[in-house]
Amino acid sequence: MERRRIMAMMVLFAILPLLGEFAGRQYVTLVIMMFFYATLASAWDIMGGRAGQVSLGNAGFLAIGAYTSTLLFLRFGISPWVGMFIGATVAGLSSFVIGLTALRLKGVFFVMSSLAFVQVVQLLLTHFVSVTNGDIGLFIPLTSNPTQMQFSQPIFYAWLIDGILFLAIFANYSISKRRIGFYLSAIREDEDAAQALGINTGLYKSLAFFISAFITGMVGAFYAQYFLFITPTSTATIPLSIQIVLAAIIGGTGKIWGPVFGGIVFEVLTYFLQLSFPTIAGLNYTIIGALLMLIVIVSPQGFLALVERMIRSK
Amino acid sequence: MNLLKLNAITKKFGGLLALDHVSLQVDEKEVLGVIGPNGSGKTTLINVISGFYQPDSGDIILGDTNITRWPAHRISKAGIARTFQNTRPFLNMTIKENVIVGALSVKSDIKEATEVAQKVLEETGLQGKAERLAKDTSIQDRKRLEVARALSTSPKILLLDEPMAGLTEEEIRDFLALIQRTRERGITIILIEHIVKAVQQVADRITVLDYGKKICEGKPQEVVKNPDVLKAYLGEDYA
Repeated sequence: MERRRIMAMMVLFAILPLLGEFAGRQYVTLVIMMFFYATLASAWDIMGGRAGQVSLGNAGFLAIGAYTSTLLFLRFGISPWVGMFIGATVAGLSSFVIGLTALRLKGVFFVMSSLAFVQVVQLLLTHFVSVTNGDIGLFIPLTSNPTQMQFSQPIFYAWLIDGILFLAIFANYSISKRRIGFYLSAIREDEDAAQALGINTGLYKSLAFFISAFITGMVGAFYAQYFLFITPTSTATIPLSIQIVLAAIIGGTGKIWGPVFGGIVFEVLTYFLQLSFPTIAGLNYTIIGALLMLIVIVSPQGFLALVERMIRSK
Repeated sequence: MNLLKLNAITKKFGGLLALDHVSLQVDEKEVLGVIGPNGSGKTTLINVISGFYQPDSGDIILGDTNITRWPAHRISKAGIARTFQNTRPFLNMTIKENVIVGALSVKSDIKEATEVAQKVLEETGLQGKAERLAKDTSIQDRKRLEVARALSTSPKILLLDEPMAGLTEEEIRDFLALIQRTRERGITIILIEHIVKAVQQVADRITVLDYGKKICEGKPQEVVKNPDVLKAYLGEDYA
C-alpha cells in the first residue's frame, strides 16, 4: 500500500517539472524549490518528528554539505557527484558534535544547542577566510558539464533534487517499517520508559540525527551546484533552520507525507506571496506565521491530516 | 540460589539518606514484597535496581554478574524489567505498539515481536483493546499495560512499583491473579506496594523499609505483627 503510494508519487514528482515545457522557466524554479524544502523537511522529520527531538540546527548541516562538496571541487577537482556524499558524511558526523553534548540534554536544551550549532558553523565559515573565502563566499565556475553536476537544462536540477527527496522519503519509510521506527516513536513519547524497555536511547537518537544530517548535507551539495554561489549567511542561517521546521510542522510531523507536503505548501505560499506583493517586505513570513498558528489550533497533526479528514468526511 | 542480591546499597539526595545500607536478596521464582510508609525509599529502591539512579555505595549482583552502575537499558537487557508507579505509556501509540516496543528487545523482527506482543496481551487481558491508543485507556488498563510492556521483554525479574495504587477492590483482585499467573511462568517478582493486605496475599517474603532503612524481613504473617513495623505504619502509640 505505502510502497505503491511511494511509487505513484515518484512518477508524479518526476513528471511535474516536465510541465515546464508549457509553463516556462519560472515554473521549473518553483518546482525545484518545492522539492528543496520538501526534502529538507522530510530529512528533518527523522529526528524532529519521529524521535521528537526538535533540531534548529539543520541549516548547519546544509552549509557543511555545501562547503565540503564545493571546496573539494574547487581545490581538488573532485566531482560534486562524489563530493555530495563526502559532504553528506561530514554533515552526518558533525551531528555527533551536537550529539555528544546535546543528546544528553532533553527538550528545550537540545533545541538551544542545535540553534547554537548553526551560529558556530556560520562563524567558522566566516572566520577561516583562507579556506572558505569568508563573507565573500565561494563561486563555482559555470561549466554546464553533467559530470561536474552542472546542467544547461534546469529540469535536470529538478530531477536531481527529486532523487534526494526520494532518498529522504525512502529513509522515512524504511525506518517506519523497522525496529528503529518503533524505538524512535518510543523515545519521542517517553525516553525513560523507552530505556526501561532496553532501548539504548542515546544510540538511536544519534543514528536518527546522523541520517537526518546526512540527507540534509546532500541537499547542501545540491544547493551549491544549483546556485553556483554559497556564502556563510546564505547557508548556515537560523531563518533557514526555522523554515525547515515550519515546513515540517505545517505539513504534519511524524508521518511520511506530512513534511513532504509541508515543504511544497511552504514554497508555493512563499512564491505566490512574493509574486503578489513584491513591495511588502516580510509579508510572506507574516502570513506563513499566521498559517502556522492556524494549523496548530485547527489541526495540530498538520495540514495533511486536515485534508485527509476532510476527504474522509465527504 | 540468589537471583538478585543487593549489598549495603546507599543512596543520598543532598543531605537526605533515601536508602541507608539496604541489603536484600531474592531467590529464583520468589515473590518479594517491599512495603513501607510514604517516603521510606521504596521507589528509590526500584530506581536504583533498574539503573535509573546510581547508588552512592553498595553492589547489585544479578546471578553472578555485578550490574552496579549499568545504564538502565543494559539492565533491562540483562533481564530486569520494571513498571512505573505513575504509569508511563507511549500515549500516541496503540496498546499493541506499546507492547511491541518491549518485545523488540528479544525479537528484532517486527513480525516475531508482534507475535510475542500478542501473547502477552492475551495473558494480561488486554487483547480486546490492542488497537486502542494508550491515551484513550483507563487507569486500570494503563496499569496492566505497564506490566504487559515489562513482560514483553521476557524478564527474569519483574519490579512492580505500586501497581495497585488507585485500583478498586475488584481490580486489585484481578491484578493479584495476574501476578500469580506471572510467577507461575517462572518470573521472579519484587512487588512494591502500599496496600499491605494485597502484598500479604502474594508475597513469599516481605521486606519493610522505613526512612531508607530495612527494619524487618520475614514471612508475611510475621512481618505484620512485628512491633517495629506497626510503629512505622501506625505510630508509637499503637506498637
